[in-house]
Amino acid sequence: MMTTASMLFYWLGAASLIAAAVLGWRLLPQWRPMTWAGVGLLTVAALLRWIVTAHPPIFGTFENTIAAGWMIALYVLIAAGVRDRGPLGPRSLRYLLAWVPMLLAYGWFFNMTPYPLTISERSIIVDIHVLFAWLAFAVLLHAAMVALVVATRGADDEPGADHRLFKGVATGFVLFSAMLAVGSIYSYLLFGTWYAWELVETFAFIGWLGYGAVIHARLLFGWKGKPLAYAVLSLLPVLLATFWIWSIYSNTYHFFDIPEIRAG
Amino acid sequence: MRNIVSVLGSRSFATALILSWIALLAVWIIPFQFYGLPTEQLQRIVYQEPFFQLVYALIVLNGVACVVVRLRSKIRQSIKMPGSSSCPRVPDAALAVEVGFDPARVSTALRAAGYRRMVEGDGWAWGVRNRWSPLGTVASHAGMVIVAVGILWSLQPGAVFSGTALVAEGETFTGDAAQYRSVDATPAPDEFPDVRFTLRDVDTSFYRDMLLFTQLDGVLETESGSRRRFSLASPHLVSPTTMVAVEDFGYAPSVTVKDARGVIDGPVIHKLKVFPPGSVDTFSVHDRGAGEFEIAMEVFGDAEVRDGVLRSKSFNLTDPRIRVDVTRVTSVGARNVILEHAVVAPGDSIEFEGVTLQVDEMREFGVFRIARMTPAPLLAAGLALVMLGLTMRLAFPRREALVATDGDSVLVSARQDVYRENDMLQARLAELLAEGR
Repeated sequence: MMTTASMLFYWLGAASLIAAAVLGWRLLPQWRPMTWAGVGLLTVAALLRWIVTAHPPIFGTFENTIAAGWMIALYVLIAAGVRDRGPLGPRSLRYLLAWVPMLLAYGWFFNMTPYPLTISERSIIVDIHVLFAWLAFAVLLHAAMVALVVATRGADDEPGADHRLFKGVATGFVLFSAMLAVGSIYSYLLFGTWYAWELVETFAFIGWLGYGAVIHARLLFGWKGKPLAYAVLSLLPVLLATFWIWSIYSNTYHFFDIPEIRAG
Repeated sequence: MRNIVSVLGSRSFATALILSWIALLAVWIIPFQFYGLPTEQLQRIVYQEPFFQLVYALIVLNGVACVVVRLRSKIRQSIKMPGSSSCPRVPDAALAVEVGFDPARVSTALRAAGYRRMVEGDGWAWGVRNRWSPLGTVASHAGMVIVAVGILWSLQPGAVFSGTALVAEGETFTGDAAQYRSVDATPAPDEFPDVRFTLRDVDTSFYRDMLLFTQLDGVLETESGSRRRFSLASPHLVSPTTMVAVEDFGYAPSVTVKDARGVIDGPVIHKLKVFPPGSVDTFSVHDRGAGEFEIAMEVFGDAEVRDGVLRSKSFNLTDPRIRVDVTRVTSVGARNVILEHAVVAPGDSIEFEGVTLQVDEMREFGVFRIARMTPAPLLAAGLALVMLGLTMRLAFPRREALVATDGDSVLVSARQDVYRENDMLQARLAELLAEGR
């Protein structure tokens, strides 16, 4: 019954967030209450699922689309100004909010059955690693959307875009580094090796080097505007691969869409 | 020498190295991963291929040079404060606020905006926030160099030891070379880690009837008699450089073989590769003559008979049954099956050719990785320093504010060195000043 209730709240939350993305795109002020409703419904869905599985939504692609969608929706609400009542002004935030229904829809193609965590995930260190991961993803994805606006429409299309672009990359870089550091410590405890250089970890390190290069470009060479935007956009495929390649390619320690192998 | 250090620590060199490293990973490692090359081989390429090693060596040089070149300027930047005798230069972009200069009001406004370490002069006040932030650049790069040194150290012979041992419940691991099933290298005998423990308990659990491993933990007793709980995610740390970690488990039946004359063999704990169900493992017991019995076992951890076939309902060790086949092997190698598909429960026995085989009990054994990594504390310290430095510099950039009298009004200026949110900071400070907060 808990699972059914959880899925009911999930579908209601997903519907709200799809509506929110559409309302946001059309510059209607109702995007905000719809997004809050979606975040609230997904929160209830996640909590009910947590009761069934005894863990937060971090296991498998379906659960991670919930975590990512929730984080991005909440980020948009905060970035747009909690006290604001108007439409979703900044174009980059409209682009970002559109990712939420896309991610949730991606999760529909995967097994939605709630499972308990496997032994390698049963640690507070994993929870911290995942928290940093989705925070970093939300911030860096926003930076990529700002870059998209700057690259296609110019920095004047969105007030403060250039500044927001660099600050997003820098903040995301700190969070991304924290994710890697915590992950490295856990890898050492689990496997005796600090960095396994498997697929997700290699993409992550390429991303880390890339964002580090962007920060150097800004602080040391004064890059801004379109050149900086193109540099950030070039890292978007790496960002997406880091966070989602494990959902389609199983030869990685981060693959958790477990096949149902039954006894007997 | 100074020129060499400047070149090595230059931003262009750093950028070129970063891009080279990205290119190596993208062109060399990623395709091999999609090709399915094993992790160990990939690690060998990343750490031991000459192209990679060249990039690492240059990055270490660049990192050290970066620290050397910039340390003094970053320290100067951090400790820089104006003297109280003369007002610092007011930037042209300063905001004018229509209030009189009241030292208490200005001080309050600066504090409310988070500025500390204030310097006050006649008709002006200066404050700073996150004063030491510039040192974060040095700290993060120094941390990266420390991590690189730690990695280089770990590649040296003897710096890292990793061995695997199978230890059953009730057994003691003494750390002798003979007890290791495998080691990653052949160290000299005095280089084996000083680890000793008795395994008291191994607990395993699978979810319902699925091959979803949800519990692998247990209790071990150290030399001092203290008991420690361990799990896959929480190994037993013997010291900052040495740990005992459980990787896997197996079934270990205790078997006694006897005949009319007495015990032939046992009780012996046989650590068998019989998981998952369907796997068969064998061990041999010499008979009183020149031949031996080859005993094959298949374990059904949660046994049931369905449609006349012995199966396991789940992957848990709930109600085990053991299927036993016995083959007599003569001294010349001739083989003769003398017992086929006999099923026995722990505590029961079976007989063949005057011999009794008793399965005393079914235990579990843990597959333990005993690892010693001497550079581990250095690597952990390096990572911590990197995070501290990045957070200091990028999350808490240095800000300076200056409020100076200008006739009947005051001029407000604020600067931030990383994000240059000067306008916003000035506006905020001006607002606080105007409100009298």
